[in-house]
Amino acid sequence: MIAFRGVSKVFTIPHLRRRTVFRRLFAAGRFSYETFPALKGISFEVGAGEFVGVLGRNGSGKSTLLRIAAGIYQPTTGSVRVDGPVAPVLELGAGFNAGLPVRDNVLLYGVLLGIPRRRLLGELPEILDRAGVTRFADARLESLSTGLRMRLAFTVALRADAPVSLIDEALSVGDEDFQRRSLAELEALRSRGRTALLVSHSTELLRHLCGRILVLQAGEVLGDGPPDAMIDLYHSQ
Amino acid sequence: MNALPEARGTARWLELLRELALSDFRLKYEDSALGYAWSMLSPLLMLAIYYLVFRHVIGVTTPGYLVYLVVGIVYWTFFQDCTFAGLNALQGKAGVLKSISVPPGLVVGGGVLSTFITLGINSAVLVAALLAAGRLSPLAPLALLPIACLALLAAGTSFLVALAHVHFRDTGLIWGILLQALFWLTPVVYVVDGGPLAEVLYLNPVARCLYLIRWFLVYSYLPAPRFIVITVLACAAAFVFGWAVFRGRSRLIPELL
Repeated sequence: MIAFRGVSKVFTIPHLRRRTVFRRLFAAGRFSYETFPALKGISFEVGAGEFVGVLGRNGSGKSTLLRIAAGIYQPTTGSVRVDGPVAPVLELGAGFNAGLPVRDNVLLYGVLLGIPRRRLLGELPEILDRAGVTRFADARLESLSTGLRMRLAFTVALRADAPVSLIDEALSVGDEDFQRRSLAELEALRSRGRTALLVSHSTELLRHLCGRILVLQAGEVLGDGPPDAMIDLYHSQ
Repeated sequence: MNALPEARGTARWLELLRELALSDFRLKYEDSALGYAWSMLSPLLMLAIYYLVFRHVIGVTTPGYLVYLVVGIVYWTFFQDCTFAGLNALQGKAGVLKSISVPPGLVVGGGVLSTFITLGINSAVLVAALLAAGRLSPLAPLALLPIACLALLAAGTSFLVALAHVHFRDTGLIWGILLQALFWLTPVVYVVDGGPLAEVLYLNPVARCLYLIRWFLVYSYLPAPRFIVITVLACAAAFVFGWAVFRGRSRLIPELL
């Protein structure tokens, strides 16, 4: 379902000061930038129906990897193949607008994630109920607590009916009860044969959900194998 | 590479465009008539100031100057709002572009479209007011053409300034200055009726649209077809150029935000 072949991603970071016309005009010829290799020739595959976890320290390239899989960033070299539509949940609630009512936000976020508006309208009561925000449907989103907002976002995101899910740290939100229910939802996705790439710092979560784990270190694959061995590898870094 | 755009087709993108435009619009007017009236305060104040200055300080004697000025301000304000909506659209939705695979063109398009809704409402109010004042020309329906041209021109410009803003963070400042210059190169508040100066102003497509809108809406004047054709072609070309330049460079936008 997902295949990365020698994928590298080099970010070109212009020196901040050059990012205005003003600076360009007065610094002509002295154009300088830094390069930062976020991924260095990564290859792996995720088969249909597989749940693969991605472990790695901050800055090891996990988010870049998910963004490339989602088609948001373009790889510098190498090739990426993803079969079928993807449902990226990289940043929960991106697209939420605090000034709009909760109801409108569900529609906006859902449509952004590729869920047809008609279906969203039909499922709206259930979504609001599951997120525990039915009473606030007509209130502005900004009146919800951060936790409730994340719960709402996660509830909407799980509705995206795509065969491939890309999930970044989504389960770290909400209280215990919500986490338990979210875990159950992810298990349900897995039993329906969906494919997922899950980034998390929670080794317990990955051990529970994933049949395989990929460990990243400074943009390279340090290991790719069964959860227990990979979690040990991650801890021994 | 990624099957998302192709697999779900244009229907999804149209739905998304609509949702983005409506949410921007709702946010601006809080979904209420009062919100709309409130948003008219700034153009009305501008109108009052220009009217007082040009009528009583500078001493413009053109008959029906108030009507002339109202039409000018309504359509100039649209051009200004539209390009700023485009300019700010990508930065405002940076979180979305970095975490969901959404074409950046749609995000700019949503911002631009939300100002088209305002343009439609403002035009309807303007036509109703002209009708009530007995100043609406029988040629008024023809004004739809130059209004559409102005919308195309504004959209094309929006794509260009949006792209520039991704690369240079001071584009907003520079665009504000350029707009000021363009404002005075467009007969919004002053009157130029024919003569060599008008020929110079005709080089500016915004001015061409505004001339046509006023002629059709108020003055019942039908210019030579050549004037109309050149205006339509210039605006269409501006749109195609803006869109093509933006599209060619849009893949890298999420990384640059």
